[in-house]
Amino acid sequence: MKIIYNSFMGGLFRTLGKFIAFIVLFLVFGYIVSSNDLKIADLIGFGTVKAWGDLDYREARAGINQRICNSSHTSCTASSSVTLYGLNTYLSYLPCTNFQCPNNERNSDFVGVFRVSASFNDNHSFDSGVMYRLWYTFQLQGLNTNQVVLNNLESINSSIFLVNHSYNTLNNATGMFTDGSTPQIYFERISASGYVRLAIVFKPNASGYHYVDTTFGLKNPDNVLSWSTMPQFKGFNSIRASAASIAYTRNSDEQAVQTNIQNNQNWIDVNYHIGQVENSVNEVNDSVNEVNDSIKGIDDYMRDDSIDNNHISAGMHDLPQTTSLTPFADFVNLPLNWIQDFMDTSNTCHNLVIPLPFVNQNLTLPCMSSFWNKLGALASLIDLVWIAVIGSRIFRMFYRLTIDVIDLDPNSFNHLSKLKEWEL
Amino acid sequence: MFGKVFLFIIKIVTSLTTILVSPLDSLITTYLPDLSSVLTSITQFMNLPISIMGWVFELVHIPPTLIAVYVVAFIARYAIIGGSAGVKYIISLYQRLKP
Repeated sequence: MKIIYNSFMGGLFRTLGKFIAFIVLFLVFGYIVSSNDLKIADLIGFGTVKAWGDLDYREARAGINQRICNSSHTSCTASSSVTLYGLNTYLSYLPCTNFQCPNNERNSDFVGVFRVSASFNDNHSFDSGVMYRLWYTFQLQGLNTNQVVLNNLESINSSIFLVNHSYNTLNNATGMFTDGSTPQIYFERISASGYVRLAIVFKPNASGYHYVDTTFGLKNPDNVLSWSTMPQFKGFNSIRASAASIAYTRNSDEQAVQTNIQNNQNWIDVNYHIGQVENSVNEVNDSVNEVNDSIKGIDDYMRDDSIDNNHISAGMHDLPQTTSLTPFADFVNLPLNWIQDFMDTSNTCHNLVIPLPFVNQNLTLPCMSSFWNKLGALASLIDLVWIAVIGSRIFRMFYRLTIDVIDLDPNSFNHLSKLKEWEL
Repeated sequence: MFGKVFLFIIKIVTSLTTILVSPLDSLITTYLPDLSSVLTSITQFMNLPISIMGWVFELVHIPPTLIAVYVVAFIARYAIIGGSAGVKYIISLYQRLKP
């Protein structure tokens, strides 16, 4: 095996091996770099979300710092907290506006425990004994000014809460992060606006699911929250399915909910100030329109059942969408197909698309044939170089092979030594 | 020309293999869909380095004919070694069994 391996890796393949090693290192490095980006998958679970920097929100401003429980749910602490009251207009003007900030700190760090306190003006009562799903969608987004598209954070989170009694108020349902990490977003531009969207309450049933969209003050300016129906509920067949697969472990969720109920007792509401209303109505309207556009985009996204979540879940990443009708034959024919691919490879120009695990991205490398075609005569020159290098090796191998076969002495013929002598 | 003949042989072999194992494939796809999925996954995964290698061939601009010749030389080398070893083994077997 060693001789075969060395032989296979000899010559051309030894050179190519180095090159491939470089490519692999490049991909690994690229993956490491790309994995440092904030990804939705990082935000699922327990942890802390912190936003800071030069914030200048017009519609909403929020730093969210959830410090709830560790990943094993055995230890929970509450840190500085900010209560984002209501799922209503209050949150349209979160603490730090242009004109008024807590403790006179403008553009300061703003962290806090996120808490939802929702009330339904239509006196909707939650059904007893029904599991509700509560989805949180945070989006702190630079909008509008000076091409501020910095770090967008969209954290989709969920908790399951069991309604044991009939309520007409949903209090203190909390978002959770399971990995204890601290995803952070940083806005470095002075002027930006954004919004926070919290809590979409889902109540699935057989034919669809009801939901309440509680985007602060923007979608529900009159504080009227009402249930809507979204048809064709096929399970959360989207990114949310990944979130659900992690967060919906019933035991941990129920434990987490219980823990959060305890934590809620300790949470401290930090004062916040409702900012002064905008100077310019037109500017507000423009921003609101942009926010609404973004909301529409999120809604479209959430309604899209065709979103492929295989790229989100690392475990599912490599599972094929469709299985071959001849899986075993494909498997058996793999070496021959490799040789075939080797020999066919340069006949067609193709991009190399490598799906990157853990991130929802593909690495697409350009077609190199078109590049060489542009070089014209230089490409032919390189052809000659390759023919000289590889052709000489092949010629040498055939020369030695021929000599040995002519002088063949069956009694002294050593296959393994010849294999080495005839190295390509 | 040589490469095309070789490719033709490879295609014949793969086609024959596919036909021969088709009953087994039917069993797997019908009764063991998970195994089918796993086999397909493995095949796809193993094909990934080859697609990368194809791109690398393009990148370094190795003529496809040269690759074909190289593969043929590689196979010829092992065929001669294996063939001669086989002949030697048969001869020795014959001499041992010779009355």
